[in-house]
Amino acid sequence: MSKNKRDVPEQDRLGHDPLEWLDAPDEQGGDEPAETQASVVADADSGDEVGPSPPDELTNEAPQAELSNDDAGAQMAQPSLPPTLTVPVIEAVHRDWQAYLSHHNGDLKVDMREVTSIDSSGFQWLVALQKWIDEQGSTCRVFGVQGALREQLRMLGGEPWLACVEEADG
Amino acid sequence: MRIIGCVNQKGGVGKTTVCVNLAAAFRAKGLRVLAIDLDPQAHLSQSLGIFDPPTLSLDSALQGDCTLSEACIEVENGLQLVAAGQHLFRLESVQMKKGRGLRLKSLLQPLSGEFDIVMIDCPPSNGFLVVNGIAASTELLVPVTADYLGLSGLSAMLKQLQRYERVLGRFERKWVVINRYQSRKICRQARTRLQHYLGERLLPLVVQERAVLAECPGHGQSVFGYAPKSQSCDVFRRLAKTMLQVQEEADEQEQARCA
Repeated sequence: MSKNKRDVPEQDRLGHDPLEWLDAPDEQGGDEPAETQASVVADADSGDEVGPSPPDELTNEAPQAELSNDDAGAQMAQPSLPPTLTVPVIEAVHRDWQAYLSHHNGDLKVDMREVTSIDSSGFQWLVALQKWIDEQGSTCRVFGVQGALREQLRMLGGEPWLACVEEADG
Repeated sequence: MRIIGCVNQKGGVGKTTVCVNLAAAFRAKGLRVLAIDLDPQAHLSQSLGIFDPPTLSLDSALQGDCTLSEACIEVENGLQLVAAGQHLFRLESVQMKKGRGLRLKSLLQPLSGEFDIVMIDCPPSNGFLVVNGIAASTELLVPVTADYLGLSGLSAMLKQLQRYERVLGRFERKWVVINRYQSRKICRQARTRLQHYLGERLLPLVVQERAVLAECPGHGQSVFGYAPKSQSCDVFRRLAKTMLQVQEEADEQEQARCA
């Protein structure tokens, strides 16, 4: 419904009041739980949301815009793969694994048990991963491929590539 | 050490203008003041004459390459500044993990005996930088414009700050200051509404929209350096006095309670 300035009383130039919730009895700003950006302020050691007082221990983790070489990375867990290794997610997967691999030495096992679908971008990522590990002088084993995913990989990579996977499964 | 974060998710409300001129006002009163430019746009840095990013700056400190002390630059009238740095924008997209929001707070701890007041100019966003700015602050100052969108932005900001307080605990003070005020009906009505909802949290003086406040950043000065006899300079002088008086009264009450 449109309003003309002439129809708006002089004393109501502001219109809708976005602050009226401040007059509510408990002055709550919304139903959104505290697990928002604020919760990532919590102490890394606490595991859960911090209580009313600020944490005593502070992390000295220095964030890096690019890959980090800090000591904490040496103990980084292998990232898990999402259910779909496809175009929308592959960039994030690549970023996570790149960070992990910067501290990883030796052979690599890629757990595909949770992956149910893959497209050409996901397959290219797997091939690039294997190639990179190979260049480091180590081996990359892909295991847990099952069902329809095995057929997708056959279509994408052909039998020679799939032989590596089947070998790992065996 | 009072750490005052100048924050509002809404852009264009004048956070930098308020931050730089209040920092200069506190400095003019003889306090030891540090200004931190947390905005990748580096407007606070430019407003204090740092037009080219220095070698050591806030991005270096946040990434662990130097301390905040090493990144300090003396600017106008003895005011200290930690400039934004040319790579600060990359940190805005840093993935938030637990604990990363306390980085700036931990960097500020060693400086607690060196400064009386730290002013942090936060960017108009919600990522790594703003989380650090808010978490490092003991008090927050929210500049707001006196119009509908300004009030709407303030509403969103206050709700966000409530969420922060559930995790961090209450801030010592949350100030709101009306900035870019003009002699219009809507501004007067917005001010009345803010007085109703905020009471003492609303600073009593408004900062009027003035050409001199728009001009002085281009000359790398606060209004105290550029136009010390201007009405705007006087407003910031009085705002700083109000903010200091409230602290003094709180300190006196605390002393009386302990006695």
